[in-house]
Amino acid sequence: MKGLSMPEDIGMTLILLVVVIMMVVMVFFIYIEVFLKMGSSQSAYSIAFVSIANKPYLITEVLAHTKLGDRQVFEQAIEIATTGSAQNAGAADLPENLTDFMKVYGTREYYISIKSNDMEVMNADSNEYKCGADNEGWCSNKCDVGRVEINDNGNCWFWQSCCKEDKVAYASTVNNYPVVTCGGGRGVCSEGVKPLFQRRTCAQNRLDIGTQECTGATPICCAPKTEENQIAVGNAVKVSVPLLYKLNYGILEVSVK
Amino acid sequence: MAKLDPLWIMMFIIRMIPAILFVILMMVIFFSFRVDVRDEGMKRFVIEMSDSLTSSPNLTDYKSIFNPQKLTDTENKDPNRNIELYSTNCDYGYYLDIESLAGPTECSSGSDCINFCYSACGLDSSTIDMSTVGTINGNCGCNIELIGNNFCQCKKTGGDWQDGYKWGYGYVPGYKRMASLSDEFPVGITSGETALPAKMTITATDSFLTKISCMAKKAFTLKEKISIKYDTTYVTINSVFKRSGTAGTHVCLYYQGYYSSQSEPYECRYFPDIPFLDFQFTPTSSTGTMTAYPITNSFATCNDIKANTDLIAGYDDTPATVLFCLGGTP
Repeated sequence: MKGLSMPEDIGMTLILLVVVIMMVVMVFFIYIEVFLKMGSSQSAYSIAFVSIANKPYLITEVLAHTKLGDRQVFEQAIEIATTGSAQNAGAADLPENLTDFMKVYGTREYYISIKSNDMEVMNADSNEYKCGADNEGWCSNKCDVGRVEINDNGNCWFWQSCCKEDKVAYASTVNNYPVVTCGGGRGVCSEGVKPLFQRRTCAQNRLDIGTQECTGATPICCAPKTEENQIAVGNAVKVSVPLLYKLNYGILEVSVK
Repeated sequence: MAKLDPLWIMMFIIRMIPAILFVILMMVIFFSFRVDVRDEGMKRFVIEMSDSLTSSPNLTDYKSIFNPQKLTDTENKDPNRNIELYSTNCDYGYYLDIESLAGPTECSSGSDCINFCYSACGLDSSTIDMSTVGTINGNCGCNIELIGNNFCQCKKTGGDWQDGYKWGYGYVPGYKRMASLSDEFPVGITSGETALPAKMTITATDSFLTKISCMAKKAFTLKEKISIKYDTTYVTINSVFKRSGTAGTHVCLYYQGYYSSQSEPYECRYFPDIPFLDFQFTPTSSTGTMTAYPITNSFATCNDIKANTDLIAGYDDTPATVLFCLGGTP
């Protein structure tokens, strides 16, 4: 029955025990990493079909037949694109009227712009979560890398700061992280926020670009919550309508989250 | 008899434990991994239906701009407003709601409300009733408010008073639904030179009635037998599936009493043109399979098609009707 000598049997068993203990420790750390840090949802493989977003198109179609103020929206838009400004077109109230119109639909995040020869000449912004004297900042629970705190102009909650995207100003502050751009230049590698037992996310009103290029103390790529970035990450859809009058070319763009 | 060495036994156990643990670990990892595939068919149906309805010239003046008169006409096509017109889906029934977001129409007297009553309730000079002051009687008037602005109200035939533009029609489940999903879409309602902002709500429903009616349609048009698994949770046993309605445009589920005294269905769906034989649902178990057969005769029983499978319509045949049977044979 005894094929090997006893000392060799004991030695091999001890080696096996050490290997097993190492495996147990590894499994423990994998469990901590996967289930506790990343959340249990990461253990599921999910296949999601591309969602269809038709609401921005529906809103634009309604706008095409709506009269705001004294004229149809499209009539005002063509005149703005042709003359180069809302004032010149006698449509200075259009941004405010558009804002009221979008409020009726309960649309919280939108951006409507009229461009003339690719230059923006008018816009109506939902300004949701915006702050600062010229709405240049976002209310947030943490400014993080690449942003500096400014006066909120009374637009944020008492527990929020008004954070303006300004990499240069941030770099000149003390105790900061190096500014490393990511996401094709859209974002900055940031510290983010890490609630207990949940995934690390970007600070409030910043977008997680989703790239894996950030490491170390700033492991998450966060970008400002602008219209372009919202569209880039698939949170919003932009509808473009050409505005043509003689040789003038304009465009009406409606972005809705 | 060989004597067992205790040290050898102990080392055997020590070596076996890791192997067993490894197998258990692999099982845990295997069973904790979950593949989650969601095709979100109902959600996509609702979105596609919204595109289809907002493009229908029978309902709209322009894309996404609904015409009040066309909506009223559509509503009036069925006294119970149980109708799915201009765009349908066999698998799911749907209910369409269109409601203005513009708020009430202010007024100082009933005459200010004539246009509103015409647009919102379809009341013209022959049907409008403003014979009493206020809105206690009649079907159109100016509601006088002690605090706040007066506003117009009107009443559709058989409906309640409404102070805004509102239409609704479609399939409403009468029994337990298998699944349901609702979504809202921004649309407009034609009002003179402008469009009033409105919301369109589409509620999709999957139920036994939608399933069985769809089986009939698929079997008849595809000339194939169609089987589904049933669950008596979602249908009353002994229910009778039969065509009904004013012009035979609806299919309904009746309680067993249909063949005796009761004649009111407990659930109906607008589903014209597909012929089928009356079917009494009498399962022997709570779950099982039921099949719809396209048949070449205008009448046959389940035993007939078991005895003679030639009765089942094939690709080159013209089906006369559809026969439902419990089970999956032949």
